Amino acid sequence: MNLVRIAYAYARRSPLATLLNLLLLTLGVATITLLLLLTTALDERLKRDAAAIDLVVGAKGSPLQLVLAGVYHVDVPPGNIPLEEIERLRRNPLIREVIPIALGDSYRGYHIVGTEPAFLGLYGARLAGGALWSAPLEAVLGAEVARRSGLALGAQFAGSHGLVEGGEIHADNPYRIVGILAPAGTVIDRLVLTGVDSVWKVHEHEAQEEHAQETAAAGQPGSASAHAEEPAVTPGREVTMALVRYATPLAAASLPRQINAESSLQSASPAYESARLFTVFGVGTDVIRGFALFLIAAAALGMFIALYQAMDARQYDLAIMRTLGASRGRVCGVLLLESLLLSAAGALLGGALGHALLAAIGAWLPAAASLATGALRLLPSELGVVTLALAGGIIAALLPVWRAYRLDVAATLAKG
Amino acid sequence: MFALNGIEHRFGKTLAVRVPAWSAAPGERWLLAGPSGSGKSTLLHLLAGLLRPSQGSVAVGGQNLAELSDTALDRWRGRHVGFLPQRLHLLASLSALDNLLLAQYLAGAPADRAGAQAVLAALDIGDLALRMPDTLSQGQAQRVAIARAAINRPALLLADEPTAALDDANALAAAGLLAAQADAVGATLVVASHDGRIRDAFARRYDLEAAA
Repeated sequence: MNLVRIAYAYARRSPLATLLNLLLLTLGVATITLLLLLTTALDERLKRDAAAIDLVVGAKGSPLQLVLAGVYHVDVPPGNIPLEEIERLRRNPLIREVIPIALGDSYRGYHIVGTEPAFLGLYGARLAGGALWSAPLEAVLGAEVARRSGLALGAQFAGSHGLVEGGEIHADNPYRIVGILAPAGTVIDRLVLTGVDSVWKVHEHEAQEEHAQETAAAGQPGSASAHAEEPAVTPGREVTMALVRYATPLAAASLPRQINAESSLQSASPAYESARLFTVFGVGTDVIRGFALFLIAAAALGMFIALYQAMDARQYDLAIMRTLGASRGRVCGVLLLESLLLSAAGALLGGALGHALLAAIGAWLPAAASLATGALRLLPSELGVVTLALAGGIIAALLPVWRAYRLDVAATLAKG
Repeated sequence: MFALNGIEHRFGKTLAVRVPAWSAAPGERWLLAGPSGSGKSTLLHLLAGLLRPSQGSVAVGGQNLAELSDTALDRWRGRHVGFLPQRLHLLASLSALDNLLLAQYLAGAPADRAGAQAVLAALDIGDLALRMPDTLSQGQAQRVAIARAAINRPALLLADEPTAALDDANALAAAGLLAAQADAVGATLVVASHDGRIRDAFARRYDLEAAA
């Protein structure tokens, strides 16, 4: 016999109420845990992808779109910029490195990025096998692309037009795979890399109508009209945007304004835009978090009601325990322990459920797989959730404990 | 074994019980008699250290209870007093045996399952050890409660109206069981009762007058 067994015996005495409160608490904790894990993974993911890129420079349009298309490769780019702009940026003393990227084609939904070898450094990638591209139409596959497509070194594939699946296939200009990247844990795992000149070569025979079609396929009415105003362009002399690394932190103060002031260019800071994205996104998570807190509060209220309602019958038990030699503190301890055991069980079950849910989401949704890689990792902030659940248990027990402390043993035995 | 001197206890301004002097030697069996409202329960609570008297002193086994702090008094009661309340109050969440183990635990005694089982067997309810209290008859439940009061071999065994809910045959049997248990553990027995049926079962008797 000990306090835990006594508390357990009482919890078992009213199994339905106990289970209901345990369920509420478990669901609340699981929701918050899942949310914490997801937002942490997403935040780290966004930061890791953008870690080495100080500024994205592209055509006029939404800065968020520039960052989504140029850094995270989840959106279509706003339009192209002339190659001379790249050269002009390279001469700017505030800039350490300029890496051009040319977008527009994809392979099975994976974006094909025409760029320079320095691109690998931005995303912490290394070759797992083969070599980098050295001639047009040579391609290097990201780790996930290679794994999912099953393509090996030396194999050939044709890119399709546009950044979504189902575009026109460039069958006459197939790429040859010369290298495969090791997994980097960044968006580069899901990219196909090649030289900028490859992208030019694939598109150089295309007439100008097709160029218009490209922007239409990109689904950007704004950029389509922007393109219409442009003078006749030679596709081979353009890139989509430039990824910029500053030479000095001071550049952050003046360079974006300087670039935006020029009529044809637009700059966007990945750090700033992803933070902005997160605040938009944050409203949704706040709502879910509020709902989860509501569940935990409901569970605490349920525990309080169950404990308090039981007090009328329980006062005789408590009086007997005092008669048998239990001190005030011990009697209060039983009540507190009962509440704490339930909330600890809820916290543990909820935490485990949160992690399991993330793992399940990762298993069922390929798109979320990269976020679920941390499903087994424990975050320091989860300690806060556990504390919250335990605090709920303590608060639920406060009033019953106070009643137990003030219990008049002799009067209770006399009346009952 | 115990000595009460100049005891008065009041609830608010109402005098509940008055005992000028009463003492008992170890192993004696006392009937505490008196009409309803004469303060029998209150006097038992004073003897058990559940109440502190408004006036006067209570000494049990040479220990002046006034010298003990609240917590020490709780611990002392667990070790030295067995108490059989009128309504028994077995813990409904625990089996008969667990009610006894609870008494051992709260008194700070080592868990002794075999000892608890033996006490139940001595009271002829050894086969009910794992039953929950709400499945027991009144007489069976009372035997479990007596076992629980005696399990820690108290020096002082107190019973409050133990026969009020029993028929004639069981009333005498209950008094006999209490006496037997008190003998078995060498306790001084005090039974508070206004039940005439068991009057002759006790050699000694202390009469309380109706207070106020």
